Amino acid sequence: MIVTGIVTAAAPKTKVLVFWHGYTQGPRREVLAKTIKAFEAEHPGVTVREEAMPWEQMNTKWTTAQAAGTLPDVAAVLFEQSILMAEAKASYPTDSVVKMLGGPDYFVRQQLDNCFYKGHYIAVPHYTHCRLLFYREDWLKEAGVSAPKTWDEFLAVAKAVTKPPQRYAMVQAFKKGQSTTAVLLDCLVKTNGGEFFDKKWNLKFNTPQVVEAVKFILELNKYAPPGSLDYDMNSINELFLKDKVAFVINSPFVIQWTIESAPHILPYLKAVPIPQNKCEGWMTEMQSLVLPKGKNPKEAREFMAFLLRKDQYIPFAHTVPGGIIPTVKAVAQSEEYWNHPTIKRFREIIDLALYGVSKGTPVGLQHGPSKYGAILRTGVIEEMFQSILIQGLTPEQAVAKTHARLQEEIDRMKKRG
Amino acid sequence: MNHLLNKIDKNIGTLFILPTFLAFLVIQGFPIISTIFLSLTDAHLIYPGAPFIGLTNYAKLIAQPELWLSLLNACLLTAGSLVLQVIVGVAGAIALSQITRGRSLFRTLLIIPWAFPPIITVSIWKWLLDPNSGLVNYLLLKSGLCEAPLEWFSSGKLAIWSLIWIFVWSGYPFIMVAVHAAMQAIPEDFYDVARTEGASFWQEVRHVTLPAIKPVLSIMIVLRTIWIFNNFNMIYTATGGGPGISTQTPAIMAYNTAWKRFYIGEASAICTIMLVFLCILMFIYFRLQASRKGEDG
Repeated sequence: MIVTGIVTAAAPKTKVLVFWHGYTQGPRREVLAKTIKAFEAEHPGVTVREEAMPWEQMNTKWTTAQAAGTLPDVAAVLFEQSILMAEAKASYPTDSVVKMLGGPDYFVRQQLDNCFYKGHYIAVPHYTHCRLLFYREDWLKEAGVSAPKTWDEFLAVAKAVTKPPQRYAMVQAFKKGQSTTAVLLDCLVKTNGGEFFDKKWNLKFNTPQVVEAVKFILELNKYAPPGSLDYDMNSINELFLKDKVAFVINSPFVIQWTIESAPHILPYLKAVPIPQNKCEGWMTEMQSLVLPKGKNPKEAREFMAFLLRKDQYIPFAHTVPGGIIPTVKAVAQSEEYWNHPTIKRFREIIDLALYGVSKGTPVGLQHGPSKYGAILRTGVIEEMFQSILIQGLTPEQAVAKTHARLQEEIDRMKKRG
Repeated sequence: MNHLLNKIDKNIGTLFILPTFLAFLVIQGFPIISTIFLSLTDAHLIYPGAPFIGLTNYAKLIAQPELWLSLLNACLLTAGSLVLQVIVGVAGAIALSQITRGRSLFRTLLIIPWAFPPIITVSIWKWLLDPNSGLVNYLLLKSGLCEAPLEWFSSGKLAIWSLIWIFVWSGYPFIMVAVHAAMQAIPEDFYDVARTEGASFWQEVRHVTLPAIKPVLSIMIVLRTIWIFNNFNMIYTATGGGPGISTQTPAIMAYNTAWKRFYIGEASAICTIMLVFLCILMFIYFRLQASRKGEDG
């Protein structure tokens, strides 16, 4: 008993650092586990407890944790979620981490600048990617058409490749609670010369540019297999990988999924920018690292910096080669990153994604981070399409109704601060 | 002294149940009271504070057709699932009682759907009913019963019936097992007398079996009503309340209001409305039961 007491008293006190993330897939979890082990070895007395959860669950989790006073120390979240966390004062600024890493130039500057909100960095970018139009070159060749560049061409190609019930052009994920169609609409509105907000954050949703983009998506939906109202992001990828559709709009993550699930498609896998109408338009997504108000802020900063260290970052980026576009400048410029065989093989697609990332912005955030822009990814766009396809509203009516709904939300938010 | 002892003696039962009652009050009462309190505020998950706004949330919700449609969906889902669950459950229990060999095996096989976690149940049926690769549509098309695949979960008309089917499939074993257990308690003499009197199989069911299982069935109906009406996970996984709001119930509406739009005050008002609605439903049901008992008695 006495011996046990002495041993317990002499044992160093362990700090448990809680890390939330949405990296639920096997390879990413494995690499993160190695990184955590390495961090723990360099920081005796600190244990990292990771908790993986789907990205969409993050808002539910952190709001609940904030109310209960159990926020984690570090979290990888979608960029829109980091804005809400900052608004709710659930996270610390990450200025000190940026400083710890040697200043803003440690990052691909544009990506870090996206995280600057109300005078502080509210997050640091973990990685980024952008949406492209992936297609089956063999099917297009068979139909005697080439990859579309404009909206009109896209409709013509969609019609040419569709041979129901075996083969369709593309499916949209209109399922309630999703934000996949919001991503596409954002991109199409940009290529149509429109925007969802002006520079002063006035809502610009009910505009001809948005109505036209909505009509275009509906037109495209005529060449989709049945069931689009119930399809989510996973379903649309699955239909592409199972030889049901010729196109899928997604990030270069598609390359890895094709390698894993549909290697027969690999020789024909190609990508082009999302077809445009009046101008270029790119939508990017960013996974960001935040410092929620947990119990170990000092160690949290060190861990965050550790995750972004080149030697730790490259193996992480290689878990989804080409899908994880590095935000750490030293990695983005390193041969080691680019020498990965998959990245080399699909260099053309990845270069296109890099270009898109340099030109694009997240959904509704053309003018920088804003809590208002985040509303667009709460399923409101998908509900708008459902109201057209189920309730029979015209695109004009649905857009006007959605505008009113968004405005009401914005007004309510403004009222609260 | 004697008077005091007598008083303690009389109330000793109350004293014994007091700790449980207090625990019950804290565990059950606190969430209910805090939900009702929150429903009277403009509490938002992003912004601090909960400004008191009285009945504004209720007024706003009552004026919304979405709430009424959600309640209607919940009622249709509950009534449809319940009626079919009871019919299939009772029929299953009667069929089981007729089997003399391998009864345990059949009982085990029939109870399997209830043993599945809801997420697995939904995934199985989503896969079977998929319009592009589902077995059901494949068979329907192959047999010529349909010309085009049916959109079980993405059609505004079919989605609620697909959900009802899933609820029936996963819920009937619970009723079947409970009713079957109740049937074991019916003395065989009752059936012997009925047969001696020349009663047919259906007359036996109607005049012997059904009256005997009525108390168990009543409890089952109450429990299943509450479970189905409040169900969240199966509906959310299957349709998310869509397409449109064709399968949206108040539980889904409350979730979206709280966790997608962050209006926790408004979501609490939806939950309170659900609670009141269910209480009214249960009150009507128990009154009907009581009046029937009175008539029977």
